[in-house]
Amino acid sequence: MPAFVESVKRTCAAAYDVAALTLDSIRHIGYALKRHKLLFKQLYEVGNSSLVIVGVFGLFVGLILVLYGGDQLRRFNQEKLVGLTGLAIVWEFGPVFTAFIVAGRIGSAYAAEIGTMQVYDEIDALKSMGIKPEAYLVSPRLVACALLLPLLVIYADFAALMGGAGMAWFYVRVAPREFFRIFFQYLEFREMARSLVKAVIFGGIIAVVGCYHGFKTTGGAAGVGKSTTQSVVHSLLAVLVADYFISKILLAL
Amino acid sequence: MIEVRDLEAAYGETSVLQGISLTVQPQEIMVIMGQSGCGKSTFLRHLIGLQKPRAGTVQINGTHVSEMSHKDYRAFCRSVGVLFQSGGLFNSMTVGQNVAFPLKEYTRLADPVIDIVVKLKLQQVGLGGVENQMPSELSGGMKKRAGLARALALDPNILFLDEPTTGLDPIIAAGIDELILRIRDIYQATMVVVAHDIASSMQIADKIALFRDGKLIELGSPEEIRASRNAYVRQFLNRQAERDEDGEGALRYLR
Repeated sequence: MPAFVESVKRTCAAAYDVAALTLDSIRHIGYALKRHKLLFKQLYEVGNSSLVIVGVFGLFVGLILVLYGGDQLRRFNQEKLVGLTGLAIVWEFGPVFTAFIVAGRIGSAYAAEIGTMQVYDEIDALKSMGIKPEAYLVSPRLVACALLLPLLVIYADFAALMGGAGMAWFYVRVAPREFFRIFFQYLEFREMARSLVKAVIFGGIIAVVGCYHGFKTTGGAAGVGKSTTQSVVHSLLAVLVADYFISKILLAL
Repeated sequence: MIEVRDLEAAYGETSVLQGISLTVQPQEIMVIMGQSGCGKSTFLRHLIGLQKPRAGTVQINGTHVSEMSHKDYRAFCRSVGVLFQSGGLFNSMTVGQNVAFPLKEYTRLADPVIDIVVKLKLQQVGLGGVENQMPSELSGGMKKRAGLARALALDPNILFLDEPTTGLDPIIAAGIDELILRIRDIYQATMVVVAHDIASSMQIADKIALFRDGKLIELGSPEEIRASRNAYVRQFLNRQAERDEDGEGALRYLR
């Protein structure tokens, strides 16, 4: 029991630190915007390194959803409604799976990069030059992830819908035109907006959690490896928890 | 002038520095010596303002370092250069970009002017022509020199150097010692140097502070330190290993 209590205490302290780092980074967004080269570098890193993997991931999510969805709907002779799987993509699969990919690809890279800087005194060097690491390192990453994740979600949704429509055509024998007719008939603008709001928040979570674990790195190369793993696990967890609460709040609006 | 009064520092419950008081006069080179883990680097971190003291004060030119606003701290950092133990170079940037970094952060100099200053600073530390190399391509001594060039970028009047010669061969280390003395003369800088190397410290220091287990046990000019009758100072200067009562220490396990 004491171990459990200790673990809860540690988790609460870490959550508090992450919240403080988020607020600090938001306060310094002006610095990131002023140093546009820093921001562009991060935007390029996030976009460039995620584009292919998000597209492939989205495509296969679309294929799998229609594969299962079509099969279930066929039992009730409702396969013409297979376009509804597209709604699941927009509501949840798009933002959550894209966040998962970015957490694995970018969040871990942030933890490794900042963790290595921590180990080699680079963070102290920044501080000794009067530069706040939250401003120089976290703010540009936070802005880049929060700006690009919604775009990546739209791109993943598009890839998933293309995959879904293709699968519907070949497997369920529903023409793409019918697939998209059903999809757009039931898609509401606010659902799309809800998904993008979630993406912005997920982007922020991934950036801050990755950077937080980077700053907490101790113990050389092994410490960097540990931080990288922890950043991915905690980002995924934080995204799912946030997804539940954001969905609750946005659905109530 | 740097004034430290009754400085105490701790990591959690572990006390690292206890009641350190010393003064570094303008243009003086103070060398902090002691065994590994005795609190030298922690002491330096307090001087730079990277850590807040648990008790006591650090004043530089009359200002309390730990109580500065961020704006004042930036002004302080502009007049201070720091060389970290590992060089502290940003590994994602070239050497030239590293040296240019403080110039871009603190001045509005045009890029061509910054390029000239970078070349000059690198030449001053004997590293002409390495601007476009990455830190990973440099040897240990070159990294320290490049770190020194970055520390000098804004013409500081106070320099903090953490083990500038540790891990370097005697010839390179002697070169860095000469460099430190020349920098003091050219920049008229006050310096605090953390070091292990006795010969090197004796050569560059105006004053030496010897730490043991977080306490200042001896402070004086190199001559005064050499003449000290303190048993630990003698042991340190004569490079004698720790022995226990039977005179064996850890060696007893090597039978």
